[in-house]
Amino acid sequence: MAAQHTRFWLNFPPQLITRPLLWELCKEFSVVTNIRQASITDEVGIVSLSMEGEGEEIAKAVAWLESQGVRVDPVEMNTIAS
Amino acid sequence: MEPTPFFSNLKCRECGRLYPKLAIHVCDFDFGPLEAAYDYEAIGRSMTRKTIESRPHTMWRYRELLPIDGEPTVGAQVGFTPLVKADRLAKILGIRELWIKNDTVNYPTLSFKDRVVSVALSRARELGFEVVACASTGNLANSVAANAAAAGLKSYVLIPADLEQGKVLGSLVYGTEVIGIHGAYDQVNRLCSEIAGKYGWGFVNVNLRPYYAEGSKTMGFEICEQLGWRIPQHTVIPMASGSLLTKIHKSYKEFIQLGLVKETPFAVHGTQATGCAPISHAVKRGTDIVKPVPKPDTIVKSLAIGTPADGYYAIHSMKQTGGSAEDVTDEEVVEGIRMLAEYAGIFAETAGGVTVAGARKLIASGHIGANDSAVLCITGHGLKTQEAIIGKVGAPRLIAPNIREFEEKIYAPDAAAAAL
Repeated sequence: MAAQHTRFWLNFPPQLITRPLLWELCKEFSVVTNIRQASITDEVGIVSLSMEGEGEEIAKAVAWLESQGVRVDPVEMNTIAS
Repeated sequence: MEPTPFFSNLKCRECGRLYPKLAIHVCDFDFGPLEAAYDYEAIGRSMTRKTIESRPHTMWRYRELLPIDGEPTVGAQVGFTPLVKADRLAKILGIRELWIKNDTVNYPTLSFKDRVVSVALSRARELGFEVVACASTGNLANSVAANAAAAGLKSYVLIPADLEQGKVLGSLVYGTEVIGIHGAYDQVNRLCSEIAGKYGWGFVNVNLRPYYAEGSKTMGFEICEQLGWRIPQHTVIPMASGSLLTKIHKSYKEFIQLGLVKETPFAVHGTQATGCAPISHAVKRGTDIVKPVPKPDTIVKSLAIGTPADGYYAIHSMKQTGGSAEDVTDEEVVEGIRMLAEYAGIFAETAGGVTVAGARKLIASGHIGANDSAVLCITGHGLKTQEAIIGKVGAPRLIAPNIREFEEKIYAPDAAAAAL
């Protein structure tokens, strides 16, 4: 299967900010990640991330991030308008 | 057709990197959104009040400030909706002067989305797209379907599978392909992004977004011209993604830069429904970090975007201009719809109720001065969201078909004369 290149905004709740989740992600799944922007405050951690890999592996990686409590939005954020 | 010199590039809002004018929307470097950049010197030489006033009454009279190369080929009749002075509503809301920018009568689908879609589809044609698409739950879908049909473009509308049938009819009727997607909103959202990236479609709110979003500026241009070439002291704008507010702000700045209006103090204010108010809540907390709302809960579906893409920029527009944000409950929304109808004769969708009720709060709290002048942006027609007010605006009184019952139950001439 061909490699895909996808781009996301990740939103970390405060309790997950100190955990090395992206390191865990790369150990667990065959995806290549690359951080393009990041902002961390007491309230939230926001990371823009590119992810490269096979489509199914990316889907699994996203599902895992969500199961850990990270919000994952496409780079456009809201593609569904009113 | 020879490209015009006015629209020069796409530009990253974050880092300022320039990009060619293609169907791209995100900076490769930092994922910042791309927006249209112009050669304002060239525009200044071509665009004067006189030249604008000599053109047809549509949004394309501001053609130089819109991101297409040739003449518009889609939605040539869109825009230049009425700006209505609403004295009775002003009195009720407690403000000296009030205007309504009435996009409930925008052509052809009765919402401000016709502005953005006509720009996006005109640009889509210039870029060679034969298929256009959008992901939408309402007004945008209707507008893409109608404008694509008129222009002879094939169109796809992607929606969550559980969307009410009534909302789909306004798209299906135009012969568009409506695709319902099963799954949670977040999953549908990500799939739409993937589809937009994978196929050679012109997705109006994804890869054509830099062009699409610029169409909103025309609402601000028209307000200035219709006020006699001046910027209103206050503009109250409903917020979903926050894009409309940032673009109206941009339109005022562009008119100042071009010398078409004097630089006078102005504020842009944003309103949301309390059940989905991530931008308003951030403003009230005094931060520019927008916390997503995972499950919006409001009757105002057209503003219920939990992750507003332009929220950060909208907050900065309000901050820069001394504007503020407010949010209103569903009960206040219905009251806002009624006030606008009863005191200005305009029937707006729920987002209009948010604007009116939000303006009332902003006036009451002194964020908009009682002796000031304000414009309220009303973005869609009430016939689109009738379900929100069914049972809340009274019912007809019923009588038998004879004059005696009419006079007994409805209108007694003698009693009416005595009351005078």
